[in-house]
Amino acid sequence: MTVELRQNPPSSDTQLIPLINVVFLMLAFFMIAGQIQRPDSVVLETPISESESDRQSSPITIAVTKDERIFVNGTLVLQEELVNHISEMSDEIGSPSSPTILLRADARLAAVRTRAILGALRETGIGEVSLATLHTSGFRE
Amino acid sequence: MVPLVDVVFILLLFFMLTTSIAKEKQLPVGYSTATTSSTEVVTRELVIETEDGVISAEGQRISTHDAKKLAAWVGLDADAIYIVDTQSQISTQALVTVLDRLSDAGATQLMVKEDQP
Repeated sequence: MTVELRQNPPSSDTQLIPLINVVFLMLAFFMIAGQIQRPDSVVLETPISESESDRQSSPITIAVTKDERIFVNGTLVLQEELVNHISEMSDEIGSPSSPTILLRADARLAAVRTRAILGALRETGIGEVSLATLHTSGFRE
Repeated sequence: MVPLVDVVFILLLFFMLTTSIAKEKQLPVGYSTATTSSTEVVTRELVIETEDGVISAEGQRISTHDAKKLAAWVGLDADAIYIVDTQSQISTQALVTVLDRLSDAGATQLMVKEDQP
């Protein structure tokens, strides 16, 4: 004689538990590993570097795209107007010490162009300049 | 149970869309002409010749991949200010990579030579 064991079908809630576990783990990962920040208005490929200095918030951020367009704090500026624009912004900030300028140059941009922007910034006579980079262990944006 | 899952999904979506996992850093670069005008500081100039990091400096060509050779060259005067120039076809990524390698080789003061705008 064979006895058939009848098993109660699992409730729908019990079936959801593994899914919830996975979702909770993903939530914990994004909360711990990520940092909430405003997305940069200009999308470009940041050069990869081993530099360990954390990116500081800067009152003036200059982005230079691969096709050589220059954006100062998200506003398109012509190369000829860059020096005046930066000088005006520096006066508006009115900081007693020179502000640091963050230069976000596209990794594929010719270094000569990056150096030309540095030359233009030197003419303004203000601030120190830092190049924005991505750490080697970071993911490509 | 279901309302809890809904909330968790919304939270997950929020964090996935707003967080960035990439570690953003910065690399300080000074104005080279400001320092070269002073006679007391020792400067060493080098030019990046190729995209894969071959530099020419003081009459010799050095591959920056060769960490030993680069460290030997930098070791001659590690405290000097290194001014990095580039050929016209070099990309910004290659420039940043060479700056990294010089820093690894022991150079403490690195500057990028500005160009005329």
